[in-house]
Amino acid sequence: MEIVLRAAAIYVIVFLFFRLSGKRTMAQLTAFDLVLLLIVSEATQQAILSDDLSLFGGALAVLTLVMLERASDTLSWRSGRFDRLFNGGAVILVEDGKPLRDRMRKYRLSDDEIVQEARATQGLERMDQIKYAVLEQTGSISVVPKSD
Amino acid sequence: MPELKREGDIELAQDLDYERRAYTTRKVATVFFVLLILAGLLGLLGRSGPLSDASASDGSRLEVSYERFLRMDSATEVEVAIGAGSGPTEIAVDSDYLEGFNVSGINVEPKSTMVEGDRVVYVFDQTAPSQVTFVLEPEELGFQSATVYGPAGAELSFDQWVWP
Repeated sequence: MEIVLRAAAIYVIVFLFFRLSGKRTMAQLTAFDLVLLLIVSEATQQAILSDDLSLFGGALAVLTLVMLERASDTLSWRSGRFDRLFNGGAVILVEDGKPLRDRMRKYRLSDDEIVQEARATQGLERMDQIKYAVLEQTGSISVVPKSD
Repeated sequence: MPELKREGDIELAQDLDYERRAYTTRKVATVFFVLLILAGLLGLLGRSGPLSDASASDGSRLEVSYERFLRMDSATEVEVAIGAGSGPTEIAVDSDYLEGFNVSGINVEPKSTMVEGDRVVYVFDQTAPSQVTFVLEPEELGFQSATVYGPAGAELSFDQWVWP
């Protein structure tokens, strides 16, 4: 019983920490993000398994985490409210070439990051060529170019 | 699934009211996380720190050094110092307190251990002044009250809190 409860508790705690830290954390992996993920996995391993190093103990912990993920996916699909709570929603950051500063400030995004995404995905050169730039649920930025 | 709304020429699941509430929640959470880290640095969450390290003394006969805040399954040390006197060192600890811990080590190794009423008595093969360190691993959460007994009726009480 203990290992299931520990795994569930760690899942909720890690989810809350990352969810409350802001959407962009979960988007593109920088070197720092990768180091952070590696350290988090090491730090949580002992908390989940404690002194149980058995095969069944490890399998039970993994199963608990996988089923919790499955449950959250199902709840997100069935309930728009839960989906928004769990995953957030999309937010328009640039509209008709004009950056929406207040929203960009809240998500700590710069013009350069948006133009960089526009350049990489759409081959655009300037902000005024962007019709819409949207911060997606995943934390990535999608760009819709203006039609010529 | 979230409802798609039309904003200009684009359809997306945008909810600005939710985003405003989420932003406020993130700000509050950030403050809480910073306070949590500060609490950890100060020792309030266990494993040493200026607000956790403590000691109690009756003046000359008995002194106990301990940590106020502990964590489950994470070893802590309780140091008991006996002042100058005569005869072998005898330290007693109340049984109720020890039931909440796994005694994983005692430095110095006791010559004998016995249960007397509601206490566990440890007899050491050395005369006072002396210092004995008990290495304890908490096995129960929450508030733990301890009383340590030394020679000539000396006794000291202290409290500890065990986090998960």
